[in-house]
Amino acid sequence: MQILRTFWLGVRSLFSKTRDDRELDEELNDFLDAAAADEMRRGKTYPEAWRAARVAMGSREAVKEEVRSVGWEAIVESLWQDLRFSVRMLVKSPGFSAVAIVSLALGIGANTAIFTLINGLMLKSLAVQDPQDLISFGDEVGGGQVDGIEPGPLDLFTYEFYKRVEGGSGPLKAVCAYSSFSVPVSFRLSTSANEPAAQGASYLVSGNFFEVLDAAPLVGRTLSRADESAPGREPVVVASYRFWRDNLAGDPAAVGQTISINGTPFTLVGVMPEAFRGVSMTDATPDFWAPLTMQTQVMLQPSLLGPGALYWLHFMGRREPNASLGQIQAWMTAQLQRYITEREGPVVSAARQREISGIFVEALGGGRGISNLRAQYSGLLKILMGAVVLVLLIACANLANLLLARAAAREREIATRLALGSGRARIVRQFLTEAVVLAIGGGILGLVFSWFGTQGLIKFVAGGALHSPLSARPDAHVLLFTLGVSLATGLLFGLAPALRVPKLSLAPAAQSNVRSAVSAGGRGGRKIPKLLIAAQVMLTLMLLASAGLFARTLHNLENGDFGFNRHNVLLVSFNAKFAGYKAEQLNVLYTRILDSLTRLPGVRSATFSGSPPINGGNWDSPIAFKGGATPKDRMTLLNRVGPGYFETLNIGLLRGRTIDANDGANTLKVAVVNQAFADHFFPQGEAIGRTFTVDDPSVVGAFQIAGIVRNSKYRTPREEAQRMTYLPVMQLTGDDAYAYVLEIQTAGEPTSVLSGVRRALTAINPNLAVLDARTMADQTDLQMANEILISRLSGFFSGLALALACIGLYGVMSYNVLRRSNEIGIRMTLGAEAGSVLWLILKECLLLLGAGVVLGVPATLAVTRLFQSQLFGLRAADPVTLGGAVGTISVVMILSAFFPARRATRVDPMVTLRYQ
Amino acid sequence: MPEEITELLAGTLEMLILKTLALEPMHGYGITLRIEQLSKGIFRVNAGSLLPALKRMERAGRVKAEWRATENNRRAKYYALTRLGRKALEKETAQWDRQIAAVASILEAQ
Repeated sequence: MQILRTFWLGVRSLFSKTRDDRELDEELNDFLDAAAADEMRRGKTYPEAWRAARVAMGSREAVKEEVRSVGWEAIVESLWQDLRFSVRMLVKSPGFSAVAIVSLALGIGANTAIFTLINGLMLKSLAVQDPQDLISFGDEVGGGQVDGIEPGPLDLFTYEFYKRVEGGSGPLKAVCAYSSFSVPVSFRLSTSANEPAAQGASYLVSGNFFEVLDAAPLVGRTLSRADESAPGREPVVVASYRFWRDNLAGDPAAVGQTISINGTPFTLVGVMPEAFRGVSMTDATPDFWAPLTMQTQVMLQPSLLGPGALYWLHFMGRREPNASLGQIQAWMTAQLQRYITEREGPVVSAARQREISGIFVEALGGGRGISNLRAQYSGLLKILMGAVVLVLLIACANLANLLLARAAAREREIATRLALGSGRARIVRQFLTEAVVLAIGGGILGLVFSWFGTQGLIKFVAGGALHSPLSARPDAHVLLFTLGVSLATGLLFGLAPALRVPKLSLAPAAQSNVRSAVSAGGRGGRKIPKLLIAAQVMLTLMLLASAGLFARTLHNLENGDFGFNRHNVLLVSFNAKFAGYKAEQLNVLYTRILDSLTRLPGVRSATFSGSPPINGGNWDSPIAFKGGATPKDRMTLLNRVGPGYFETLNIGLLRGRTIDANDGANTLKVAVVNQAFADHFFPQGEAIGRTFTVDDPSVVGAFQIAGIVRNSKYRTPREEAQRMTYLPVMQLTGDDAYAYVLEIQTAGEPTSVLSGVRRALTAINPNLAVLDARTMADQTDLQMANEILISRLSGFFSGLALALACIGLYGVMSYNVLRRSNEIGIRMTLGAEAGSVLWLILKECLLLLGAGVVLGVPATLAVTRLFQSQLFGLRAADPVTLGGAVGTISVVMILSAFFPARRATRVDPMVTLRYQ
Repeated sequence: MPEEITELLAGTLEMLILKTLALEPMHGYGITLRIEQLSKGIFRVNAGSLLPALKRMERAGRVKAEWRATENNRRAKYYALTRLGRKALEKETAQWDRQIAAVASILEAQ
């Protein structure tokens, strides 16, 4: 209550300054009158009385000041005064202010941009009620697994297991399940029944999904447990906001309409609010959420819901507030182990039992949802945050030096103010205010820079995903961060001139007529700039070395042997399922496609496959050989390919033969394997001719190995050699008969044949659309997206740092020369030559450079060791890179010092000695 | 020799002003005069100490000020004690007594 009153009174007096001042004057006059009258009563004469009264009061202004400073608003007023003064001073020197603000904007803007990404990827919570009570069981994303679960954490589960645990137990209130990947679907609205179907994405979720997440719909209703009653029974979907806005014009009456998904009519029962994005705040939001029981209709694949089926669902749970994660984890793990044991069959070996007891489920906080992007980029973002902090520090050092130079020039002004009675604290506050004003200005401009920078970054990070929830728009967190960073920055570099104030004495500045060999400002004033320059050199060295390491890593990756031809190959995605082809019709279709493609001008050869040659996620399965011991580890990667695959992609054949057009549905089932496969399964003998079966139930029959090809990279450029088995698409059945990618080797630029390919496909069937097209080079770049990003950004930031450090050094050197021009003039008069003057100035620069390098090398080694895991093909302490960085800095710094030094030699002694 | 009242803590000065105003509302110089009289000339409060203290107490709600007309057709600012001020005076007087007793007993200790 009292605080409110004090606050209110202060505010009121801010607005009544003139009246208060007048009243204070009046009161003081009264006081004097009364005092004088009293003195006269004691016997003094009129003039004596007045004099006594005035002496007793002392300085009238001082008293008024004392009274004024009682209220808190006095501080506000003096701060306001400082502010206006700072702004005036900065406006008076526009060049200085511009350079300062732009340097700061670059530093602060870079920090804001990276923080915006960190905020979007790592800090946001799901748009549901009480996200802190959500639990995510495991945090790997995507995929599916057949049996043969290895010991370790498991985060994928079967539908059967879900039904067992959906009710939760104790502190775990409920568990919901959702597909671990988003399913591409084709859809048609009831209003556009005659148009070709469009492509969308759908998640499959359990009936209690929205209930567990505690998310309310915008229109209509969400899915409920009743929607999960039986497979195929309830064809309902809930749409995302974006889908509703883009395809249904945001019409509330659209709820209840029928949408045909993959040819099956579904009823739209509800729309979610814009902020709701399912379980991921960062990956693309789907168009629909459909019940798990509609799985076969949505995925156009056999049922994954029965016993013995795939592990393909992720779980999310809701717990009682503050319930223990450990308890929930223990319960879920016990349930899972029991389930796996039961699935193994009636007899479980002791060894297998031991393995099963090593399988567990992790219960993690689920409030921030699942994120592919987060897993991919969080390490990188942390490194980048470190880099931009360094850039900001370097910019701060520049600002500090700039302000110091300015303060030295204003020494006379400060001396005058001190003489007039200003406290040193007030002057320090003035300097800090100026610094903060500059920093805030830099912060605002930095927000603008960051807006553009972040947009570019997001486009890169989201990798062309159409609807990324990541946004460059700054939210409250980002704005607060920028404000905080600006203030901290301002206070940090404002300290530099402020710290000098206590040491200022009034004497030297006032004596403007003294000519001396002592450089102005005294020796002490030169220490801080030197320290700052050395620090800048050290920080820049760290950045340059890191950028060099990342650039070389990228170079190593790009020039590594991928095992296939990266140039002149076009990848085209298509989907025969959407076009309505049944599995039996595919082989004929493939032959027709290859025929018409190879006829196109510019096409050297063409083929098709289930996945592109290098792909983030991949199909794998254990296999078993007929007759003979097989090693414990029976896993292999799998891909299904068409005839001419290895020739189109230039994957070298080592022995035997490749898959060709003769391998059809009615001939012997063959397979081609890679060198790693042959070495693993048949280190002594011959792999060719051996027959095996694939554990994955969708692959029917036994395959004979017909050829061995060279190893390639299948997932990432960094991987060790993996075992790969190629099966002919035309010999597979069911879902595996569908190929989704065309690979086309071109004579010239790959994209030049794209329109021809499009026409060829639609000529065969108008529903055969090109869903996506990219070159093989693009595809490999996609696997190196992290490295490309960090290499580019670290290069950019280190270039920025180098530029800032140069500008800083140039400024400090120029200023030094200016200050020492007296000294130089005297030396030259006494006979010093140009060369020795040059050396005099350069000596200082070399000393600073040396100090910076000496400090910087161990610092760099310490820091780069932290991200050794990001590097490829070289050690963090790589001497060549370090040497290159040191060399670069040295050359650049010496160049920047050279020009001011040369100016020093041009000093005309007559001029400097005559004028001060 | 009158002692400078600023050697005492600011809180003590406020307490003395409160006591002075407890008797009757006064204007600035009147308070100075009364304190000097009651302390038999030991304490002389000058404007530079009194007026800031008065403003502080005004902000704290312990005194309220009003302009009154005087003879000579002028006006003077009179300060009066508020209810809050009376309560504060009681509390601080009691505290002062306790402190004095404590200091005395320490000084008399053997």
